[in-house]
Amino acid sequence: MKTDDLISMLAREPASLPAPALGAPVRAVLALAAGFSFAMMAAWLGLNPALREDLALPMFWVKLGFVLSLAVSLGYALTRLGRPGRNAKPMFAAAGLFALLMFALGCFAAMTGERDETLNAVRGEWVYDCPVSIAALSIPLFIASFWAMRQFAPTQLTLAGAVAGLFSGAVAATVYSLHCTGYNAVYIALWYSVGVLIPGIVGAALGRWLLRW
Amino acid sequence: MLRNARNCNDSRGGSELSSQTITLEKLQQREVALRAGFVASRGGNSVAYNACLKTLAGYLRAFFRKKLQRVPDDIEDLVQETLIAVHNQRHTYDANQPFTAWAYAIARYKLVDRYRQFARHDAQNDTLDEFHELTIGEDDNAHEAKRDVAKLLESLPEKQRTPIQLVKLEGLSVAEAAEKTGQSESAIKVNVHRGLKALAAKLGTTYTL
Repeated sequence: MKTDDLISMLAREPASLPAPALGAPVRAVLALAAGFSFAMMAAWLGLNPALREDLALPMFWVKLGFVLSLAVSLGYALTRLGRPGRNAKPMFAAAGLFALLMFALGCFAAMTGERDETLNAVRGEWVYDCPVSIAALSIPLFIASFWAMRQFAPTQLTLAGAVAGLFSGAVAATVYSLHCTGYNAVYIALWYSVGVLIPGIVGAALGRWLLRW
Repeated sequence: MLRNARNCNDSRGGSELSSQTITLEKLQQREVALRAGFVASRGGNSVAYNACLKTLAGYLRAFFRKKLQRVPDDIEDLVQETLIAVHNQRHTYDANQPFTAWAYAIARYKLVDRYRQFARHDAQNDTLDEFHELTIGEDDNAHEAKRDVAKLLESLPEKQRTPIQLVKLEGLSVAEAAEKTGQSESAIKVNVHRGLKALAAKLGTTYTL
């Protein structure tokens, strides 16, 4: 087919000319996935029974702030990565900064806190539940974010896959924080990050295959 | 479906890029014009959209020609693929963003995607490089032989040449050839026979039916 013919064919398609509004359905699907993830947490792990009292703990808000700020900045990065020619670097910088702050806090806690407590936060028997649960809770979100990405046009597939994975991990971590009763900064900086990284790595590996258009 | 490699040199965008004298000002003019056309298309203005895509096709052609000098056949394919992608993904264009950046990001993506296909294809298939010397001679011979037949045929009168071409070279039946040329079936047979005889005489051999 000649290029000029193709162009007139494309231009003749008046019904689909106005840009379809995708924001609302994408947000709805992501919210649905987050709800599903919350239901999984409530059914299998159970809400933190002492949640009401824990709201008074500063570390509860530090933890929630950490994962929530990660989720928001990575979510913004996703909306940029889906649009060709858009720069997502400011959002990466933001997400990196939040992670760095948490790590700094973790290091500070490790240096000032009790040695036994720190060791327990790093390799106590209970800590492995955190990354495993976050990875499991991220599955519905992972599927939803990849679906959302496919509605757009990411041009850097590995990066877009990684960010979609990290985003689902961060939202899952937010959900998990409503179950979790560990408030040690070392524990949060280390194991929450690992939990977020697992879907991120999977997403980076799958991006090339699942996001191609 | 998307093959049309021959009309590469007719675009304004092409000469602009290849002469490599684009100033910043020109780029800005290009951006403003393209963007206006693309945004107008969202209001349903298909004339503006058509013009915008046409201009963009010229720029894309130049872009891909610069990147793909080794495989010129792919340029027009990629131009068309990119235009289709621009069309299908136009909802991802945010009107606050430079249009050129958006369109070229798509073009670059399609180019990288094509490179990946090459890489995958090369990994799964042996290249023909080692056989190159074997095949090239054969190819040349076939070429010359065809040219000789063509030359000889040209020496025949039209009413003999066409039937021979249709029946003996293109493999049509006598009836089909008759329908195509307007000659009767028996005339076709006679003309093929006489033509071949004349050719044989020219080559200094005898022609037997």
